[in-house]
Amino acid sequence: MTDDELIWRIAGGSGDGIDSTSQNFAKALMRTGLNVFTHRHYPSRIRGGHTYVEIRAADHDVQSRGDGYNFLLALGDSFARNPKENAYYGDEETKPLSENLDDLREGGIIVYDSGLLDAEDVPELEERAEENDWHVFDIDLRSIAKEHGREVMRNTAGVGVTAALLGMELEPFENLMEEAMGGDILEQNIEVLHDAHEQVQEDYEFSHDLQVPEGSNDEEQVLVSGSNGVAYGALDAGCRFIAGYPMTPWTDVFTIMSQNLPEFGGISEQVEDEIAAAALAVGASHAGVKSMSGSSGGGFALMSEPLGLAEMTETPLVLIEAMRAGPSTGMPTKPEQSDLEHILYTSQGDSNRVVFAPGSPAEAYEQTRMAFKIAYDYQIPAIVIIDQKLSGENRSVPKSFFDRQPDPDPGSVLTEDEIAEAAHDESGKFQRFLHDTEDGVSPRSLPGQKGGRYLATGNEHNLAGHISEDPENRVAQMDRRMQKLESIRSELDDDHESQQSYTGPEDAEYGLITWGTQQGAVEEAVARLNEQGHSVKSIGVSDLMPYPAEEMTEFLESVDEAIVVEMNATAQFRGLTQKELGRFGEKLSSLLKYNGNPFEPWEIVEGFEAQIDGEGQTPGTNTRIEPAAGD
Amino acid sequence: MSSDVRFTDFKSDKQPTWCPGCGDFGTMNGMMKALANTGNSPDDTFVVAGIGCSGKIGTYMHSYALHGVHGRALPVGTGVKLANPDLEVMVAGGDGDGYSIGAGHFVHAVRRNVDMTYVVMDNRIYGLTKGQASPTSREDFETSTTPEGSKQPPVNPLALALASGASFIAQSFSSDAMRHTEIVQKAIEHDGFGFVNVFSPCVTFNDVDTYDYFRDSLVDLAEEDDYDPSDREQAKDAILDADKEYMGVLYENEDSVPYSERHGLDSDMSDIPDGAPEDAMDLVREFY
Repeated sequence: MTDDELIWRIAGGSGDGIDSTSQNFAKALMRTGLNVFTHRHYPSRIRGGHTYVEIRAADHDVQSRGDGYNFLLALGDSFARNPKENAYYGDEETKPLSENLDDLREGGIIVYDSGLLDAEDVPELEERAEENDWHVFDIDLRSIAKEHGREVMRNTAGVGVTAALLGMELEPFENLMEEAMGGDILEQNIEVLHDAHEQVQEDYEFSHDLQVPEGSNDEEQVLVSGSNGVAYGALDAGCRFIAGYPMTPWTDVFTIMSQNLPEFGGISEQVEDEIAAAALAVGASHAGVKSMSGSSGGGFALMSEPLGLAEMTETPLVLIEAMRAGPSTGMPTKPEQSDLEHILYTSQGDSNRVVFAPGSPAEAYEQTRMAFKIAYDYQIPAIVIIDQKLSGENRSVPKSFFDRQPDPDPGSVLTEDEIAEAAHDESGKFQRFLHDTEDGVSPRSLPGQKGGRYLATGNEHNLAGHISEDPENRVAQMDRRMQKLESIRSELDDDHESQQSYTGPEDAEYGLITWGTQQGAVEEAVARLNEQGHSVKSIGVSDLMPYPAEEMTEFLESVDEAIVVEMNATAQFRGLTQKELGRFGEKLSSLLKYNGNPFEPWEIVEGFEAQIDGEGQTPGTNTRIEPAAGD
Repeated sequence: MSSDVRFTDFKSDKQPTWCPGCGDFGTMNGMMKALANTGNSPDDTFVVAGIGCSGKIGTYMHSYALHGVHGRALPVGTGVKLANPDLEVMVAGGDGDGYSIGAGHFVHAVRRNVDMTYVVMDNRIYGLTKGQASPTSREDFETSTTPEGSKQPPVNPLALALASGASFIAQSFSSDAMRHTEIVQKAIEHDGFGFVNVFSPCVTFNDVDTYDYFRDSLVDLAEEDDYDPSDREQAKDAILDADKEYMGVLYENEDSVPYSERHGLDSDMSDIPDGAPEDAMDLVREFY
């Protein structure tokens, strides 16, 4: 079988240049007009440990890592061998070659660095290669690298070998190297690249079918991760302030913002903890600057109080939650969607916030912009959920997609003239928290504006912000704040294109429901299921709160059964759906995965068949089916 | 800023709910006078406070104010000041707010040296929760939650500030209206983070650290002829003095460079430029 896509995996130790090499490889493929998707797998350590990046490139749309892979470049983990032999325990040093060989497709290619890896240490490699028609190439990349430069350049040698085996031109790689480096380092790398390429061409015979597909994108593409999408969305929304504290995987967004904000005239501040981070953002936003903060699960937990303060004082705020596997420290570098309930409800009292969960880097851009718009128009915190998967996953996106025109609109803020006309109490305090507004949004002044003074407090308060425990006032203020959610829901339903992503035939019999970052894998599974004769459609939900009840009801009414696909153990989105809609319990089953790795499309295909037809087997131990109520 | 601002302009029409005789009355009056004396107007003043008796100050002042989360007044105030450097930001809090739950923020606010003022109303007790030990309570001070005393040495906030690289450290006493006002005024005028620990006695729950105690024991540095607040060594000795407590400016770094200057911030961030920076799209050049 000839694959119409290349899924190239480069594996080795952390610190071996896997990220930079894969990034360049992805760009080179993208520049030939291919669609590109990258998937990053790494441990929580600085050096050594097993790391790999997969790059999937095809002329068709690529929305997930795909099923398995078809090209393995095993670099060897230099830190498992050096500086002294057996410095690390166990089978770490053969992992780049041995781990997940099960996922290598039939007819696939294996290139391994015989300078660092010994195939004899990998059990049954030869037999398995024969059985699966794998084409195995042992090449001493380490020596090639050392001959022309330094040992670390064996990743470049690996690229040269890959290019030779796949019939790729070297020029795109040379160009990328020239952009990234110079001097001796550049020259040495180019020599390594060419030498490796020639050695393969001269010394090896090959008979594999795998080729690089031909790309047909004419428009210039950029390679953008979910974190890039969030950061560019924030910058283009006019965000000019960020405060944060490092935590994987949130750090990516914080880093990109820190590097770019000064050019936009903004401020980025790394602070002492996440409580301070969110509190600084509340302060800056209160003073009129579009502001954000964010973290991952544990750090986000610390933000509960400032988040509640923003809700109560009606201070606009955008927070990012980059989820990883929990509970507690969990698996710091592995994705999961188990923070949903935490994000929806954390902080004391009834929650009053907006939550988006983009499904791709492009959606991350759009929905972060939308989060700012809603937050500043409605004076409410908005949270954008990403996770370890989306955070570091790159996709090719047309350059023109990003308009890069910052939005200076400060949202619902009065001018000084309007303040002068607005209601004040008998002592001259501005009535910031008027009850009787149409959409729940009350008039807002900014500190420093003439005549707009009021007290913002986390206590329940009256019109001018003073602490009040008057029952009537309490109910009026609570109802007004909650009214904002209804207004937001109406705006999202009526004034904008749906944030949800739909695939499959409208009249399909069955539905797949997912939210956030598993959307791509679900959509590929839907395409495959329909090709196989099933009748399936999907909805990838992105605006989680206020809950899109109308769209979800319509979707659920139109299908016989639906499976909710999510990366957690307790079916959190399915629970939310039942809570919000109060029905459909008998129609909703779940396909769950929480082993630290995102869904692959085949798992969803098999999960669907197991649940709906009762024909397929539950797909291994990696996923779990949770039947519908009454099943 | 108009020069005809009177300190009463900073007063709201809300009657404080503090106990009669509470030190916080004097602390707040001095703050309002200092704000007026330094030419600030209520519209340009932002008061941030946390939770506790001290936290209510924003209610009693007629400026822009935020009454936030326990222990988090400093980070909120920092955000406000960074976003709008034209505002006079005054952060107020109690000893529990600043040196217990918010101690981490205190250390970092001090070293960040943002140009704002931090006034701590230190009564060495938790008042609003009705009399529990605070981080500055004496170690043998018996309270409802420390029936035999905390048996822990109190925090020395001035030393904490000095060790964190403070550029301005002062201590005052709420009932010495003139000196207190003068000291807060100096903190406002200071180019950087102006920190004032104010002894603000709790007349209901603290029968040790009373008006009489402070009146009798405090040594006013203004009366010490050879005390030079710009001398860090002298400040260190006074701050770590186990036998005496001082009132006045203990330390002021005359070469203090505030955050905004260190970071080259020269404009009000809320004036967002109309367009993107010229090379905005190039910011993604690394991803082509």
